[in-house]
Amino acid sequence: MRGRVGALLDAFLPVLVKEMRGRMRGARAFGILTVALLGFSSFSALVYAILVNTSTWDPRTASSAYIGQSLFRSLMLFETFTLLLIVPGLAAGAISQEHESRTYEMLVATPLPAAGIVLGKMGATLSYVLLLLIATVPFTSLFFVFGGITISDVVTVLALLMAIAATFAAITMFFSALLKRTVRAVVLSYVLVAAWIGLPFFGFIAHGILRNDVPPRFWLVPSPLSAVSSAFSVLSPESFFTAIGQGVAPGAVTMRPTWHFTLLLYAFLALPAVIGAAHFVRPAGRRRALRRELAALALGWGLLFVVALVTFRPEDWRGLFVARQPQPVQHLEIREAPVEVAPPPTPVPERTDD
Amino acid sequence: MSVAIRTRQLTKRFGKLVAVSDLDLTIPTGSIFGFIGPNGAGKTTTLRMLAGLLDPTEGEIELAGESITRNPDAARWLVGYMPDFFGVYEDMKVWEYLDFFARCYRLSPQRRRRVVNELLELVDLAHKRDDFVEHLSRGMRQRLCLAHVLVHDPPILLLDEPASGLDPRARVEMRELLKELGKLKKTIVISSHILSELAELCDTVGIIEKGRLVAAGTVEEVAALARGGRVVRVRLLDASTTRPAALQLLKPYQGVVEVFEDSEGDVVEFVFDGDDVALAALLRHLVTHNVPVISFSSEHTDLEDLFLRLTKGEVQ
Repeated sequence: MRGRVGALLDAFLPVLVKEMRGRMRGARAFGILTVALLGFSSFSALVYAILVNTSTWDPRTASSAYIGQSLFRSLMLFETFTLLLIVPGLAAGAISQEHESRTYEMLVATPLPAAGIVLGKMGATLSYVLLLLIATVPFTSLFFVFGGITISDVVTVLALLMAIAATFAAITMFFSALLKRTVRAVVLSYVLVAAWIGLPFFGFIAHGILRNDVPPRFWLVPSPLSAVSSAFSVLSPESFFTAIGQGVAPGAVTMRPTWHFTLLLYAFLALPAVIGAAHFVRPAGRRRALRRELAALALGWGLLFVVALVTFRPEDWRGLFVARQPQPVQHLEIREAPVEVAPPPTPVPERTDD
Repeated sequence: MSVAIRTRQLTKRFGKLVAVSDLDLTIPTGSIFGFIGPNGAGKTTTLRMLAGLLDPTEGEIELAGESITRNPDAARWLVGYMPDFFGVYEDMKVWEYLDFFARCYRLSPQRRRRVVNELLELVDLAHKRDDFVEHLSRGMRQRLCLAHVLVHDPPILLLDEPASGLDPRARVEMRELLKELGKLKKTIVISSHILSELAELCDTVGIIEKGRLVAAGTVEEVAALARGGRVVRVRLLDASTTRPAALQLLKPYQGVVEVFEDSEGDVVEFVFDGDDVALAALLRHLVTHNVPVISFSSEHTDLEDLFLRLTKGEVQ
């Protein structure tokens, strides 16, 4: 066991170093980074302008915290979209390009284990995503001036974005290893991303229309957008973000946020994707390895199942299937501050100078 | 004699197509083995199976006494494999390319640095150390690829068409490099179409056609197999008068398989199936019967000729 883990680590680092050298060299990587940051800042400026323009009729914009949170949420959703566009582009060629550029045989003729090759390439993709996310942090910190967001919000959402990126990277790499052609892997990955974004909302809305009721939020669990939306502190329960997130903020005791379930689901999906990618990277001995791979999958899923059992309570699961209205979190709800009304002055009896 | 590569009944089928059939190969340690065959004969399939990149359908492979069929990972350490069509990581520098493969073989940082420098010297690319791989010529890339198979100092090298697509100068450089590797006492298997180069490099050859090994052994052994013996050339003094006597002596002699009566000029050629002692006895027989022999030699075997004789040209 130790030998296999050690071999995986030995394989992870050379591939990671090679991929990072290739990826970070030249103007392309920093060009993408610059374009992404320009896009993020332009988008935030646009959101800010909209908020300022709606201030004449939307009383919520009077709250600085509301502006800060709206900016942050909008940007994070925009970043989620951006990641869903970038990650398949970064990961789709990971294995297939080795075939296309005829370097595959030389790579797999080395003692690197197939899983190590996959994890090394995935690590390089995620390192670049991490760089992109970290680059937005100084920019995001400007929103703290407005208030309404906490450090915990920022950390939670960034971690969630990394988990989303890891899942989509794993699935895209599986396509890359299976199809051995970058273009096919890219197309299939984007079709999947579109379905992944669209179908949960479609199911959610269709359920609501057909049952004429507020639909249960299990529909939204697969959606990365819902996951990210459910990771914020809720300031305004009527907002778009709460509607698509259908969760409640960490700290609220009534119901688990949607993203907890999303993370669990993604872990369940990413595991077979990585193992499957490694299976197809293996040049020979696939039949022999299949039993080991199935055992690893069973072990991983078993561990996740135990984690789910320990972490989630039965009422958490029930909460997924029960139609509910989003509930505001009391400690962040905007309330009109009670106006201190001064007691009426006690009438001073007139003095009579008798 | 220790054996570096041994295959038993090695077979590979792709659906109904039999790429390699019942291949029994024994390659001694330290030899340079030329693997000859027309396109589609099964050379690359065989080399890929030896490198552990392809599962045999049937049969056994042993590398340096280790069964690759039972322990396929062992091939990774025992073999350095250079494919026929290969690419390079264009966005890497030359030293980074070798450094990556050295990392793959878990070399320590100090050893990695030393090995990279030594290999760059060996393949004459030290002056290109910091250049990007994409700027290298075809011949340089070929040499760099050859260097990468040496990073872990494997005892067995499998080189699939290492000189294909190279210009004449690059071919000569590659041949010199392979000779250098031969001096390092590595077991080298080279598949190539350029038979004249193989003849110069290899001490043993195997000829494969339609997945079957037609002949294998030293060049002389294969020649003997092709012709039922070795060809001997005898130059005679005053051949116009002495040739009939020579032919008369040779035809009934034990071991003489065939005498070429149409040999031109003062030369008589015949196929002799026997060892050097028997051949010396034959020379003595001629001389003692007053045949005036000027020179007496085994014919230099032309690999190309052997290849054409042994294969039917059914796959191309």
